[in-house]
Amino acid sequence: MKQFAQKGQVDSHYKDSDKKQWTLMEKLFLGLTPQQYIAQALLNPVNWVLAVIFAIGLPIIAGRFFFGLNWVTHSSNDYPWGLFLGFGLFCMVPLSSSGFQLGTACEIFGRHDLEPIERIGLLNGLLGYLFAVIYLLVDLGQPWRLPYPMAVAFGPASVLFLVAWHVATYLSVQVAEVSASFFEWIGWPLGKQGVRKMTLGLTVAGIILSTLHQGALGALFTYAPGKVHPLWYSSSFQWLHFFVSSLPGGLCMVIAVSTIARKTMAWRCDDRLKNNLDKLTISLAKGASMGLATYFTIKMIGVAHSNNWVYLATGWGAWFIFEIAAGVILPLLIFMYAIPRNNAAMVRVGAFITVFGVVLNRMNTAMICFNWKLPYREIPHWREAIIAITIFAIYIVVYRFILYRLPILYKWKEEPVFEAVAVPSRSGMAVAYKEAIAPVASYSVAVEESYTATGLSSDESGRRGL
Amino acid sequence: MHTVTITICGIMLTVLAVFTPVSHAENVPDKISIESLQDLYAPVAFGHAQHITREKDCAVCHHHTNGAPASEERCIRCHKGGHEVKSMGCKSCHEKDPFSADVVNDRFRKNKSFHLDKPGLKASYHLSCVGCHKKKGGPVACTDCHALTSSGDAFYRTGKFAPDPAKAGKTGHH
Amino acid sequence: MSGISRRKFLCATVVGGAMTTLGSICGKGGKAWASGSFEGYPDGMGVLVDLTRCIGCRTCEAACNKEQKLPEPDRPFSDQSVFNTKRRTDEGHYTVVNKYDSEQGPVYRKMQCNHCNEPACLTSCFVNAYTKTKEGAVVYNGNVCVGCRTCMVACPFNIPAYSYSSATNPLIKKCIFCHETRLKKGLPPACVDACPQGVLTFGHREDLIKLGHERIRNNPGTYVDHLYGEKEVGGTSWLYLSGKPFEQVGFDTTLGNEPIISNVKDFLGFVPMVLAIWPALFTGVHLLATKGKDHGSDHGEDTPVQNEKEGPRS
Repeated sequence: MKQFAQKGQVDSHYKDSDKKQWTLMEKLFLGLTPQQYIAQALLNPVNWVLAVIFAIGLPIIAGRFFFGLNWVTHSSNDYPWGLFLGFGLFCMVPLSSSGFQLGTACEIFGRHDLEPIERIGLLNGLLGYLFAVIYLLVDLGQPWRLPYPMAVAFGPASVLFLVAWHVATYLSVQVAEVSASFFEWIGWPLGKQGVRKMTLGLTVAGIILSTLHQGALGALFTYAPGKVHPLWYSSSFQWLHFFVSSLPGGLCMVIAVSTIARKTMAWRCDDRLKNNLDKLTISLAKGASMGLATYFTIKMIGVAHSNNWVYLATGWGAWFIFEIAAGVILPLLIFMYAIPRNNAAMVRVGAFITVFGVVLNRMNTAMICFNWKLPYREIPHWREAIIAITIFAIYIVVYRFILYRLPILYKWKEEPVFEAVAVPSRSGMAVAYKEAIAPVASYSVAVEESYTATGLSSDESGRRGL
Repeated sequence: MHTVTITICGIMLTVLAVFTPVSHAENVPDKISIESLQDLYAPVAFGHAQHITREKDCAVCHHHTNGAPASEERCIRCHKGGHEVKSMGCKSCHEKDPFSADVVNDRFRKNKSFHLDKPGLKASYHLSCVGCHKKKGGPVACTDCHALTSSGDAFYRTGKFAPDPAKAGKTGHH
Repeated sequence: MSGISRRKFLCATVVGGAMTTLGSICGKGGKAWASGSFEGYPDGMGVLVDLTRCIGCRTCEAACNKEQKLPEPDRPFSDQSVFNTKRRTDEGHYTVVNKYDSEQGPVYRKMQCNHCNEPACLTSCFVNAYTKTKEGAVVYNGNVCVGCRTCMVACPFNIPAYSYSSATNPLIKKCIFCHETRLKKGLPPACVDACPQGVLTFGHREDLIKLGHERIRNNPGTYVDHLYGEKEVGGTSWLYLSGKPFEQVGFDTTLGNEPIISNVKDFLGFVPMVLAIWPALFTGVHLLATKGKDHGSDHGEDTPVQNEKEGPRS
């Protein structure tokens, strides 16, 4: 573990000892020499597990494109969507709703206390969506035609058309949001400033896009009213069920990821995160428990609305009750017990269970309880399962690669000398801006601007003192 | 390309078409070779006399074309006394090509509600023969009445055209 | 912290809204036509299938195989052993006949695409690969298909199949009413032409509906008094008469008469509402939430333990 402790030296552009800048290669190698880097990587048992998964999985992924879906799936006409969409798309997307939720909380609701964890939320959103799309690419019969709904042929009457456009747009929004940390790391302040200017627009776009496509994924199943079991189906509320359950799903995914990050890469977390994480976890859990309670209520309304109570007495009903009890009520009770007692450890347990609950719901809707009238259940092909696991492993590796490097778990330290130069110009910019808009702006705007200007300079001077 | 299909289907249609026109009892043939559809199947050697002996009543097959009163309830409404026609053969009323654009547009559009449901020639033969055979325990399998020809073998992928069992299961899972 | 004013925020909101609209404007525009009740094209053709006449000879399957140049079957079309299992359409079989036992003897049921008036495959397709032609056929354009297989999920009759076996050009495989080779030229589909038993009657859908009811009326006791497909999921071009209750011979009788797209309407109607309401709603919330605080430079009472200024975004 000593080698691990060596990592994390890169948290600003400059090496501590002298004023020499880190090169990009040094940043990539976490401030270690390539030899040191490889040595510490080999010591980590997780890497060996990943290596085994990739050794088996990557050739199978390649094989899927050479031999076709027939080779990796059961090529079922009754169950056209297997693990790639049932797990990959329908589970990754709700667990990635954290991006828009934390963005909204920080930027719209002004909950700046959540900021130490905001970037994890944003990154979690970006990667979740990205890998949902990667799962999709593996599943599509002709993935090279993915841009078709944007450019070649339009099927605007389709819910999937909405999903495609929104996920594509939202992915770009998320790339822009996360790029702020990339620009800090790479050392391009202009880029970061550009993104900063768009932050609020991006955040609001994110809310709209997320509401619609989280819901749209649910609405996709309203095309199959006879196939999804009535307990998992509601023509009127399907999109609401998916949207509302994605809220606790995304928040709890952030709790889960931050818990794992805090445990496995403590060297990368700065004190700001470490000291606040328990408090933040409980804040997120408060939001999640509201979401869970709402979700439970509308699920019951859904059953009542279609008067599906009779199905509860069947085997499907028992499975439904298990999903609700274990995936919704249990974590809700855990949160209700743990939050007032400030028991962050227990909250984390509840968060993991919530994630499980959301995954179970999506798998049930898309696969397990799909085609409930058909006499047989589709068990995925073993190669399909291996591909799903392999892509998830790639997801973990990419996630870890970014967390190790970009200022997500820690705050990028600006260099004092640089700041001193920057301050006057930036304040000057703010002032100039204020003057420019003053003649047309309302009183409050002008006042706000001056606040901002003051805030900036006092902030910068404070930082200079550091 | 559809000529091929037409040929194939025509084959079957043709099987039926060769009732020699007979309007007088003395002209009743004992054996009839129904061969106008012979393509997929060889002609049917129809034992006319045998059927007459068995059924006695011509109207069982030749509904209201032999001067006998119509048997079907809905026919009686108009054709009370029955009427004699020149040709006893099915094909004089039942079209060989019942779904051609002309027939479809004409027959259906004229709203002749009682004749709306007149089957085509091929269907008439089969409905009549197979329907009765089912009731009375006659032969009903396709090759009981007519043997497959070579093109029939090719069409149904049977005989020497049968699929190689070794290659079975290559296409199409459930 | 970079001092984003409310004014800028409002602008940003509008921009954000516009970006979103970009992705959805077509969505709300185009969806309208798909809803409502489309009764089918007036001159649309159809086929009436009379189950009481079918003897399970599988000639229709053979004709389909030949007409559509489908791959060689595993077993001869004269082989009756296929009836031991219930089959469905797949990439090599656009139509299949299944056998259902009853006390009065076997009942055979042909299945193929029913060519809905408001096809779920069509409305669910995000590249518009499907077309309902004026002749009544639901045809498919393989040149734009991405292979998402939503149409297979959406089809209430489980008809579209996928040629999973192809690595480079997998496509949806389903009955297209012989549209290109026959229907367009005024000819009946190959299966109808081939059927020896008069099970299949080809004609204008309107006429077939009349004919179907006529046949029920004229043959008391022969048929269940229902013309399957007349109203199911908004009506289908293929219609069925049966002597046995439809649910006993492989039909789904729980589909209802609403076209599938009606189930999706609730959500589709909600889309423009979100686009219109959300920007204003969240702008308002933002203004309320940050009242008295300078958003972006003041963190309020909940500032993290570190008194260091938060910088990365906002």
